[in-house]
Amino acid sequence: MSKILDKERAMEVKVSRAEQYSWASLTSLGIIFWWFQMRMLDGWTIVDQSAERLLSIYFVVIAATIALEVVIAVVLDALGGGKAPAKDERDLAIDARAGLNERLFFIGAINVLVWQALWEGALDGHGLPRIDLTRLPTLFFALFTILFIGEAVKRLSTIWLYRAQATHD
Amino acid sequence: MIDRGASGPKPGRGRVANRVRAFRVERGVTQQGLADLVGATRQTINAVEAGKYAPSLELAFRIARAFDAPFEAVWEFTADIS
Repeated sequence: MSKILDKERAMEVKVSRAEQYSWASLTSLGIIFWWFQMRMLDGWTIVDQSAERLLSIYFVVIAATIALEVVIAVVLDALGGGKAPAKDERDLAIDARAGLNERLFFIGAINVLVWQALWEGALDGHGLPRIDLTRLPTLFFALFTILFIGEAVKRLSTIWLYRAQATHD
Repeated sequence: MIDRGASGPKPGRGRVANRVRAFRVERGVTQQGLADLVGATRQTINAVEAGKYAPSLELAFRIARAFDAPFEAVWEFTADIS
């Protein structure tokens, strides 16, 4: 009887595949965002770039995201002995809660952008930080950053929810 | 239909307690073994046993059935009446 419990205590340090995926995906997201901001920012200033150049950055980001997600899935599958990742009701509940957090972040962030745009138009000469959304690189950077942060919120929520339900006895 | 009236007790937050670990150890089943029997992951069984995750009614029934035990012998709900 105690052998079963001892064996399980040893296994409890192992995290689920879904949690491993979240960590790996968050890391890849961070790497891609790092590359993205290197091409978009000079210090705290958004660099002026042509629409063609922005389009190429967009395609590289999308392609790199897909490629890294495939690599993560293949590696995790290999580590799991080639079995498909098992997702049960708790995984789905955590996915749903993390998705809700992501959606709430998007609603908040888009509202901030709308407020900023209206503020710029309605109150000329205000002392708040200025974001010129009529400039293409600024708009592109703002929207893409919101997408990145939203995805990071989802991954972090997932990890936090898994950790909150994990036991360490 | 139950009519509690305007001043009757109102349901507060409750707590689902369980004897899953006790039943499982008694029957010599591992968490992974039970997880396979009921179609869940080992981590979910672990969280259920630790009281950190309240399973769906379906999973709760599956677990009780896996032990061949009555539902109320495995699960217990304590309601806080305010």
